[in-house]
Parts: sequence; C-alpha cells; structure tokens
Amino acid sequence: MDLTAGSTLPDLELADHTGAMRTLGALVGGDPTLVHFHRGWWCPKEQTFLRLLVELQDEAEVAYTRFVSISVDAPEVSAAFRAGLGARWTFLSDPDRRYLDVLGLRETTDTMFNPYRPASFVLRPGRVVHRHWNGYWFWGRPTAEELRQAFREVTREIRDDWEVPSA
Amino acid sequence: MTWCWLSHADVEPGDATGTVSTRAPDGTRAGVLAWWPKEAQRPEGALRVDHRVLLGGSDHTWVSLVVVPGGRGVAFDDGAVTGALRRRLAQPWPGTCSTLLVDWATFGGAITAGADERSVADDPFARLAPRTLFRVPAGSLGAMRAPTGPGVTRYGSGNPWPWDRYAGQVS
Repeated sequence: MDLTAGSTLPDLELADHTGAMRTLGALVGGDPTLVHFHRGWWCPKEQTFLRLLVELQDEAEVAYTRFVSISVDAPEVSAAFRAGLGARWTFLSDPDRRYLDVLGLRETTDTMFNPYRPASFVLRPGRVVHRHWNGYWFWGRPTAEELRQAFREVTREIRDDWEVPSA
Repeated sequence: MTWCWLSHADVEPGDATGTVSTRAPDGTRAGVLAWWPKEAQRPEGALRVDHRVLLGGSDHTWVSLVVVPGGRGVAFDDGAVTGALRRRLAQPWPGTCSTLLVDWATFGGAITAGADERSVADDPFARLAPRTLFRVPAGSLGAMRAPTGPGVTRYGSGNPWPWDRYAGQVS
C-alpha cells in the first residue's frame, strides 16, 4: 500500500483505549492529525518518542490539531500506558494485527510480538498523507519542530483565514 | 451537531421540549432534567449543553451535574476550566460529558454521565463548583465517544466542549 504524501490512509476501525470502536476518519475529523504507529508500551524508543508528544500536546490542545497512536497493545494496556504518560489523546488497539499487512507496517525484526513498525504520518482532513516518517531507526522520527512545521503547512492549507489581510 | 438549553429543576417546567425525572443515589425523588432547543429564549437558570447528551439510548444512568451557583460562571478560558478539561481527557472517559455554558464565553458547569457510580465519582469539574450526583432511567441520555484529543478549545464561540467541528466543516 502506498503510504507516501498524497495517498489516503484506510479508514481503520479499531477499539480505542476505552474499548469503544472508532474509525480513523471520525477521529481525524476536519483537523490536521498526527497518526503514529508504534511497537508498544515495552519499547524504550516508543516511550521516549511518546514523551516528546506529551510535551507537544500542550501546543496541540489549543491549535485544533489531533493525535492518534496505534499499536498492537490491548485496550487495557494502552489505557494504562496512556495514563502513565499523561497523554490526553486517543490510543487505538489492534491486538489481532488486522492492519499490519494491509498497511505493510509489520515489524519484521520482531517475530515474537509482531508489532507495528514505527511510522508517523501527518494527515490532512480526509486521511490524506501530508508528511510521513519511518521510525524504524529512532532518528528517522519527526522532531517536535518538524511536526510543528507540518501542522502549520496543513493548517495554512485548510483554514481560509490563515493569511493576514492584504490590500 | 448543535446545542440545547438544559436545566435541573425541582418541578417540571411546562414549556420544556423534554424532561427526565432524576433521583438521588438513595432513590428519593430529586427533581427533573429539562431541555429546550437553542432557538428558545433562554429559560431561567438554563445552560447550553451539547445536544448529544440528550439523544437517549444509552445505559448511562449515573449523572454528575456541576453548576456554578447563582447563575454566575467563570470565563471558559480560565486556567481552572482548562485544567478540568485536561483532567477529563486524561482520565477514563465516563461515557457522556458536556460543559455547560451561561453564554458564549462563560462556563457555568458540566454534566457527566456513566453506566455506574465509579465512572462519575471523580469529576474534575467538581473542583470548580458544587456538584449533584443523581440517577436517571436507562435510555434517557445519549452516549458520546471520547474526543480524539488533546484539544481543549472550542470550535466556534458559544459551543460547548467537546463539540469538535466548525460549522459547515467537511471532514
């Protein structure tokens, strides 16, 4: 599946951290959204990256910008991980690995847990990929500043009143 | 999505669009929840609520109602309100929740509902104003999915949080 810029992520349907079924399209709504696939609570790289997102959420909470994190962790595990981090966004659970191969995001070097290969996407409304990062190597992941820039680009594109008045 | 006027009264208002009787946790009668469409002139003491709370069909029978006394309120953007919104998002989602607005800029309280007492026991909005705990019959209130997060600002002035679309916005 093509997950590069301009492609559209499938409308994944998964349980959130409360156990309620959610669709990605409804979660994205009409706002710029970070969708972050990660290995799971046990991975120190994910813990580090998610702490970065926790710092960034204080800006996102006033910027009409959404986060969604997706892993193979069960909902109750995601809920505990989310609470421990202090995260205030939606965590989706795919314990049945429904979308690993559909998306081509199976982590090939972990044949025990079969988690998601880390990948981050900033989406435009409609689940359209605007920017993407392969996080297999930690330095391949977006920095907070790169996410800010991507959110700025999408916001400029979708908000009619972005520019200052011109003569 | 839209909003309605909501009031918790001792006696049933004659002109309300809908009402549901409420009982204290010990089973004694404890007034009624009443609501009106947003087009109605503001009924005395009524506050703006996300209409999804009133759609019915859920098993959310426990309700935590926080109302700032005397018809007053605090600025919606007050840090104390923001703190409560953050805690609401961080904590387990109870099942139904809406802030209540006095007017477009003023927080007047919040209504939270869930399937059991535990789901509404720790209400972050109860740190801002007195709260009343009561029960309603099953099917009376609607279910609302947790907001995506982490947003705590409103989509258009005058709309209760967690409404999450601008008017006319296509997603």
